[in-house]
Amino acid sequence: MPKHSNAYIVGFAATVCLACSIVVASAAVALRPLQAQNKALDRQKQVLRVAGLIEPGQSVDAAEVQRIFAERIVARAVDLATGEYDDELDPSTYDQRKAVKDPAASRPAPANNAGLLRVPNRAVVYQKTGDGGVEMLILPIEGKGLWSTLYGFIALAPDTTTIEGITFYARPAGLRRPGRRRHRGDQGARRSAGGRPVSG
Amino acid sequence: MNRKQKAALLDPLFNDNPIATQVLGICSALAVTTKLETSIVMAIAVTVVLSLSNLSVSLIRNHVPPSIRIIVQLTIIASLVIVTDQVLQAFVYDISKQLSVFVGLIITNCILMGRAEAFAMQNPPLDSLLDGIGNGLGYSLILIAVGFFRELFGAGKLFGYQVLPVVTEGGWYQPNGLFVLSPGAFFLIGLFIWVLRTRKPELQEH
Repeated sequence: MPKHSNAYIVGFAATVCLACSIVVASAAVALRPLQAQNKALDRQKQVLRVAGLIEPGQSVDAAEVQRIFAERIVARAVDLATGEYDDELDPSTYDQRKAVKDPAASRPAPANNAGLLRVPNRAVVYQKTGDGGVEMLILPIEGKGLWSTLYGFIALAPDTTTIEGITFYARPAGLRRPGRRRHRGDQGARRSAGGRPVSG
Repeated sequence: MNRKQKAALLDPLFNDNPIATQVLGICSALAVTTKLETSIVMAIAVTVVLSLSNLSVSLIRNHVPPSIRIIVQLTIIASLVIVTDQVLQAFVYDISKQLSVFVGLIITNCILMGRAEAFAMQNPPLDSLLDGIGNGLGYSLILIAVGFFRELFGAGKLFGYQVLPVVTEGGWYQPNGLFVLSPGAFFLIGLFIWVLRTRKPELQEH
């Protein structure tokens, strides 16, 4: 078939697309379990960091993170409408960002400065426990940053008015430097968001 | 390895460096080089994608209809970039988080399209693979050098370890904030180009 015929061009394009999509799809499917594991571990690491159980910049291996997390942190689901604990929900599998997109699991947000359109019905909070019971409450936070939505954790002392730490773990775009802005909040986020992507 | 293959592999290191003499791929060189670690991972990612894209484009070069050759090259490059991104997320999650969109933006790195169109479309697979590796290494050379100086002068660190004790922690080194910002990378790349062209006058343009 001549290379310039339309049939050849369409056939060639289809073949290339098929081959490429098989490669991409198999890579995505094969690597998904590992990625999910990394994501869960990273979340635990962020909780430990904001709770002051590991230092920013300190390198801790996966087993150590899981050990400290299991020892010192209790994760519990909270019904945001009533403020009561909701122990029917498994905190380890609950995905708040997914819940926000599910009409059954979220509701429209009241007017707010954070730029949020919907809030979930339930959220997972973490308690840092020690000899004297609950030492710190770690709450998920989110809101609009300079370029996109920021997700993070804020750690409160048991009096619930003293902020003990803050960290951001996910920002969909821009250069992130996780763990370097504890107690510094949005200022650090703004600065590093300045390294936004440029194409070319 | 014949003479042409050797040239394909080694020329891009100094004589025909993609960043310093072809002035391609500057954007990512500015974005990811604030730290040595991210520079190295980015360098490896680009080298792998570039070698494989050159190889694949070269393998099908005699069958590609000329009218859709650019989009075919781009499809191959994009697929390889997505796979690379997935691999990074699975094995070096922390670094992939820091590199964020810049791995995805390898697609738009001019070196990849440039080499696919200028070399791989005209040369056999082995030569193209070597050209890809060579250009990847040339890019890596600049990226790692820039990352080294930016992290050292910008934060007093190398690979995250404090090398120069900074003033804020009781040392003597006052970190130079300019190196953390993109202009710092411009100055460094400019200096590399200057040094390279002074040592190899044949590269100078008239």
